[in-house]
Amino acid sequence: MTQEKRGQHTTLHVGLRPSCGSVTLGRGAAVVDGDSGWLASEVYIWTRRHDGENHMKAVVELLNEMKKAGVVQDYALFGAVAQMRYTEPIATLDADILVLLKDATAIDVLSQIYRFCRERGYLPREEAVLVGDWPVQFIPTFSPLTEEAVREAETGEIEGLSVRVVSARHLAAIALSVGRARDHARILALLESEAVNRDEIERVALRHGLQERWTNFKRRFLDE
Amino acid sequence: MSKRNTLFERQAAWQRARAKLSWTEKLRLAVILRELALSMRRTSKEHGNAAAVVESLAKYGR
Repeated sequence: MTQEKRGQHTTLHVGLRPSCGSVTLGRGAAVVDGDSGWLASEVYIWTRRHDGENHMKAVVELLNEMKKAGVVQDYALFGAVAQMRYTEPIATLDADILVLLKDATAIDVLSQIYRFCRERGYLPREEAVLVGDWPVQFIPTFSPLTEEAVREAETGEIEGLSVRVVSARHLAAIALSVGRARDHARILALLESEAVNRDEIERVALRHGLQERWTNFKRRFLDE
Repeated sequence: MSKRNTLFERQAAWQRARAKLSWTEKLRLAVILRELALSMRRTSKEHGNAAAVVESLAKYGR
């Protein structure tokens, strides 16, 4: 990270500089006011040149094949990857997939999914299956809310491929039910991007016994 | 309004504008953000605090 002073402006460069074959991730005005007390009027963030291949396309192909083969009844992207359909991009380590299984009572509900992935060369890594640079986590629906989220999922598009994705209202309601700080931030981001409004979240929350949580959330974060 | 507030507002507006990018593009950026975050986390862990991160990166000419 380097600083450059040009007149009244201070520019921060974060990461590898262009001479190293990097690309600009972003450029914009910002204030950095931490322990070091910088005030920067421009920030450039550089990173290594990406090979252009977005492995999310491979994830989508895998999911659609999985559904076609009947390994899962249905699926829907959720978590941060789904959120990004509606908001600005955010950093995330993995891709979360809600899966609706035909037999959710089986002892090892994910074994068929893992076998299907392994046959296609995608191997498990910790709690996920690695597809390119995306660790993919399969999460069986675990409540009436998540089941509804998959059944009422929307169809989005990634690199020209159709993909099932949890709607913004269900994404917000699931976040409300989980209730961590990052989930609260997700709800606020979805509201700010106008992907969903308060009434829509409230309707889902009421249907799934989340009324008290929604009331508390509104009081805490929305000045109601 | 102070210069600092103006800068914050410009930064917020710039970030909000990124919501209009295509989902594919946002996912591509997310991968880059992840690499950057992991790289900074590693450096931070090695050196203990933010000031050390700056010194370290500057030292290696990054």
